[in-house]
Amino acid sequence: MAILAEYHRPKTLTDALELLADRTSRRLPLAGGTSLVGSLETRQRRDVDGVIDLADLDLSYIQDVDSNLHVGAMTTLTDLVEHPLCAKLATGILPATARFEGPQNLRNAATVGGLVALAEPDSELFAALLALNAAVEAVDKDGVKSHSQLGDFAISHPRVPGQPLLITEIRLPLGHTAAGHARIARTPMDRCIVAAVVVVPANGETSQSSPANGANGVITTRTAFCGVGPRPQLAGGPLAPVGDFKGSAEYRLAMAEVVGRRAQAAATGALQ
Amino acid sequence: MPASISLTVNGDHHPVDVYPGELLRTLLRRLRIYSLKHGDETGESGADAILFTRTPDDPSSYRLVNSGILLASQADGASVITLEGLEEETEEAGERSRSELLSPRLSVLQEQFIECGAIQCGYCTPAQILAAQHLLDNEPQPSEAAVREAIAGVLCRCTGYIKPVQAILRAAAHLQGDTPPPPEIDVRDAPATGEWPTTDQPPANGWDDGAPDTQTQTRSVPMTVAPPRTHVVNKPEPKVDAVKLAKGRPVFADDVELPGMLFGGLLTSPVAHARILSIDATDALALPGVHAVQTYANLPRVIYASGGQSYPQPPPYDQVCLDSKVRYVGDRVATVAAETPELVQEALERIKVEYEELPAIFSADEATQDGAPVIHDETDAQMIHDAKHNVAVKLLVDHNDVDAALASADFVFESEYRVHQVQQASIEPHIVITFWDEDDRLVIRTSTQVPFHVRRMVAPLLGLPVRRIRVMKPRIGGGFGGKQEMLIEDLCAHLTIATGRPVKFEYTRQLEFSSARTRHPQRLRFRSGVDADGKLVGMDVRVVADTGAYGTHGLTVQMVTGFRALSTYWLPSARFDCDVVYTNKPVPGAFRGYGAPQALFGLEQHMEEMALAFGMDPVEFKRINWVKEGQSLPMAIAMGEGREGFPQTVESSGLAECVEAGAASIDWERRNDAEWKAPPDQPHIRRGIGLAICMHGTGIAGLDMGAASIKLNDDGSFNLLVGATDLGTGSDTVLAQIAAEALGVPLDQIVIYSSDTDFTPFDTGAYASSTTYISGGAVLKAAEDVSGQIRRHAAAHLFEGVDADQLWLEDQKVLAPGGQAVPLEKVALHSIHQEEQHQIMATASHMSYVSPPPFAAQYAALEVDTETGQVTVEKVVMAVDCGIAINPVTASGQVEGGMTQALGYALCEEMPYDDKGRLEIDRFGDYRILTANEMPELGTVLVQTYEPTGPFGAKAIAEIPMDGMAPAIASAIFDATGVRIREIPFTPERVWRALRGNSE
Repeated sequence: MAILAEYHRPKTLTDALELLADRTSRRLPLAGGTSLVGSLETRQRRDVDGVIDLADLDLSYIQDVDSNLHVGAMTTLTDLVEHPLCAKLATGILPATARFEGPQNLRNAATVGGLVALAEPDSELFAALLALNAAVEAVDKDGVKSHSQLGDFAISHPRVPGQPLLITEIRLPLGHTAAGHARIARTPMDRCIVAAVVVVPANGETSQSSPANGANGVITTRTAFCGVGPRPQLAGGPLAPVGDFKGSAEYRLAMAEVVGRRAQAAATGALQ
Repeated sequence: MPASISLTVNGDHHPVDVYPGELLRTLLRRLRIYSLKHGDETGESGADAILFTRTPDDPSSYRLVNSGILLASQADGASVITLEGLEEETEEAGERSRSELLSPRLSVLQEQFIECGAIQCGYCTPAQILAAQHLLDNEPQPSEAAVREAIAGVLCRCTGYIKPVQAILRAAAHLQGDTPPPPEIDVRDAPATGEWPTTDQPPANGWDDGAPDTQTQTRSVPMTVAPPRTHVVNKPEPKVDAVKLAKGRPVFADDVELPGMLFGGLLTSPVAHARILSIDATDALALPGVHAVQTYANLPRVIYASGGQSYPQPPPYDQVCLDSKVRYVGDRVATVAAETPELVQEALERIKVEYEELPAIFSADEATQDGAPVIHDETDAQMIHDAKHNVAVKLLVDHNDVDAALASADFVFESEYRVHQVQQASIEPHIVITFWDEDDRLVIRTSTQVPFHVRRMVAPLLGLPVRRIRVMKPRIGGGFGGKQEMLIEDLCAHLTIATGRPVKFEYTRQLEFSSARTRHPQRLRFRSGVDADGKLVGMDVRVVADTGAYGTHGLTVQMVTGFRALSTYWLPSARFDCDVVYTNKPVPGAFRGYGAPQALFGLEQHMEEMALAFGMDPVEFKRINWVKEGQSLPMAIAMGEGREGFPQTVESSGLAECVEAGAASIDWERRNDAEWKAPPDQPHIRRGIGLAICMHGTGIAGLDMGAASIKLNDDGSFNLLVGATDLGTGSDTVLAQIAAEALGVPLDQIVIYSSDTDFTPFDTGAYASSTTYISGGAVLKAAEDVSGQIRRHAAAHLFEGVDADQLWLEDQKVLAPGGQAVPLEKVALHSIHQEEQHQIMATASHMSYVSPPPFAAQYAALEVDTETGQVTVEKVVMAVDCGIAINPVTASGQVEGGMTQALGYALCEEMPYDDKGRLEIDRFGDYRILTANEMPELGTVLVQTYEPTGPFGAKAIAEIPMDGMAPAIASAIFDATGVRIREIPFTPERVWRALRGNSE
């Protein structure tokens, strides 16, 4: 059973960050709750005294700003993938991968910020955001905003005591890209063992970018993998899969090549 | 500290106090919204789904979410709609209006769920209907894919989703003004001659010659035989319990509130094998609101076996309520009773346990070796076969001289197979509520398949006589064998005895996986011989089975494995040699199929492999060897249920027709289509089709007994009281249909109640595919007795010059040959109030020395991705001979649900452990149950035969769907790739390795 001493629902980011920075109590931000509440309820997490519900911070929005899509961190996965601009982006890679985050009743509560914060190794939607070259906006306890590419962004809880960081937004470049997706799972809708998402530019250029050169809205071919490391990652770096009951490290490594190749083919096919 | 929040539920505003950690689900249930069910803690079951919005002014903003992963505080200012909120004209949330009570109104969706047979246990039904309603509100004409997507987040373990999807699609059509034709069930008769009774005389209930055929509209009746005319039996009657389940009424064990009720909890072992050196509960007991902590030190030590089986329990006797030794991760250590679930949790975490860890063993093969850790070294365990070598049970059964037969055979073949551990995973967890009644009797309200066994078994553990215990079985949210166990009733009852207070104790999903029951893993080795014509001359089967830390069903499950392995095909000689072995793993027990799925996975592949090695077509090889009508089952005598059995002869079999019907449905000829098997545009894809045949049992011969009481009411209706236990299978409906048929009344004139050890007669319980046959036999006997009493009273007082033997009951009347008719109501009023007053009633019990086998053919069509090893099943078909289907809808529902569970067994369900014996899964999702939006096409054909020993010709159907799917899929993978995989599940990596000749 969840044993919590505190629940807060601040009205401003400043209040939220102050509550998180207060070292007299161990507090965590609460977004949709689809992961955190369960982990509290099962006592998987016992290091939490209170939660800071971000529901009232006006962080649920999707805006088109200068050819970039700005998505508030509290936007649900459903709202994200049903938004007309998101639904069509890169031949629909966001709704295609979001299906594997869980069924509708989970996607209706889970948020973009939670997805980014958790960076689950088998999150195909996270991989799609990586391949789409998403950027993350976060704010620290002093109200200072920072921006970084999703591949470079990592957040963990508990943070350094007194040094909270809240994800407030992700930004997606809106380009005329196509995408491909390939996956391996125990059943058709199971979370993947290994998956790959490839995003290619509209001009059909297929040269693979390194994680760095896709920044700043420049559209190049980008491949992201799930299931081959502690979090989804872009191609180009070393793959270090950890085996579990769904698949050994050896299998995952071998399959990364297969899904990468298939996703590339699907993306190329989508361009035609 | 609690905080005040404001919440709108179904339009009613509720200011309520909540604690920071309280879930929205528990808050809503505090507000008496009982349609929300607890399936898990991580949101994957979806049984607690609601419609939720923080902007209630915008009706389009409601979204389906799971209330069990929302804190109640998150709902401050929000609005919630539950299934109760879909009712119109309710006077108060959670209350039913007077008009509703007098005549329940049903929404179109609820009507269609009932008409289509979409409700089995009903535990997930409210969430499914809510999800469907939300879909139809937003998408009035959804595609099937959209429907499946909409309910994909609500796990159903019973139905296979076909009927819920059908119900939603039909509801959509109705709401659009269309009237779709009635749901179709493929029911056909095995076209053998002479199977149906060919009598010219009306049966006891009578019929009019020349009346139109009243069989189900889809039946094709062979011209050569005369089918029995029935009015209620063999009809797709709606389930008798469907309305309350469709409306989400409080019918399950958890759905009651008792004054002063405490909550119970269980501390389990974090290590696989250890002695408990000390337990210090001081800190836990110091918490205000904690009323009891119980350990081995303060409970009596009474040895028992927990399997819910008939007296005397099959050995070994190797458990006590709480022990000073733990034998697996998840074993019982201590219990707590406290005022709130949160206090229970806090108390459990404050109990200090000092363990002396012992070497543990996780392999059944290694456990029997000299020097292996001895798991049961206690001196008071009883009837363990060889405790020093961890052998709980040894089975060795010989029929004739199999060694000589194999020595003289023209061809001998040997092969080995492995099957793994899986869990029943009913969506309703194990839950018990215990309390003292006003007469100082202990009441146990429990979700059990075996209420009478629980009463008998728990009594010595509590030190109470049976007469001071009452076990109530409310509706059950699925069992599948997992609740054929006296699992936690003893612990909860001890807490009530210690505190004097009602106690509710419910497993979490994590506890379900670690500390409930599972299916036995086995290693099976087959050695068989055939003569030059391909006829089997003998089969030798060696099994090593893993029973985990305790014996419970170990003996009888493995006995069934042996019986199924050695009786499906006729064998002049046979041997079954089995060790049932202890390991330091969670405990297997009863699980639908009960040893047969394990046996059939090995047997069917062994037969196929042998045929190919011998040079015969596998189907033909099976056909010439499978048991046929008139043949005996020699192993039946040697292999009873833990005792000597009884002679068995096959009286009815539609197996040949099942194989034929299934082949047509799966399009078997595609096996010869090169383009289909290896699509040119997908070079990594190979396709194949596989077949497995199955034979099961119908109750346990000479052991199972069910009883029923029927009494006539003033208005001519009947009360039917049965001890049988409807897990969602529809047995209450089937039993009521049998009574209605025999008493000549429509189904709504039968008021059935099951089951309560104080009020209903004994029944062994819901297991062994026995209820329709055994309990139904009792109902038929009682009904015939009551019919006789009615006819005698009517002949004596209400007819002139007519013998009782000339009368029959039909259409709620007593009828005479001359056309005279007296309503049953008149007979009832006359017999109760007017003349020769007495209560017309009867109680009958039924047992059987035969267990007529149902037969089936199961097919799978699939594709294998040869690059990745991923198997995608396109279609599965089961054609089954269940005798006469008392209710074709519930029967086909059993097939669809059972096949879906069997698919999970073959493809994705497993219980993996780390090297310390800790389960690597503790939630749905990781333990993958198939969802609505990933199901292959399911095909069901009911091939009817007439079983002369069954009520109205019925045999069993509940378990056989579980038996043949894994070998059918193995066969299809072989057909697709030419690679034989002798171990399940067929996960991508296992298949990938096999395709490369590289097993793990």
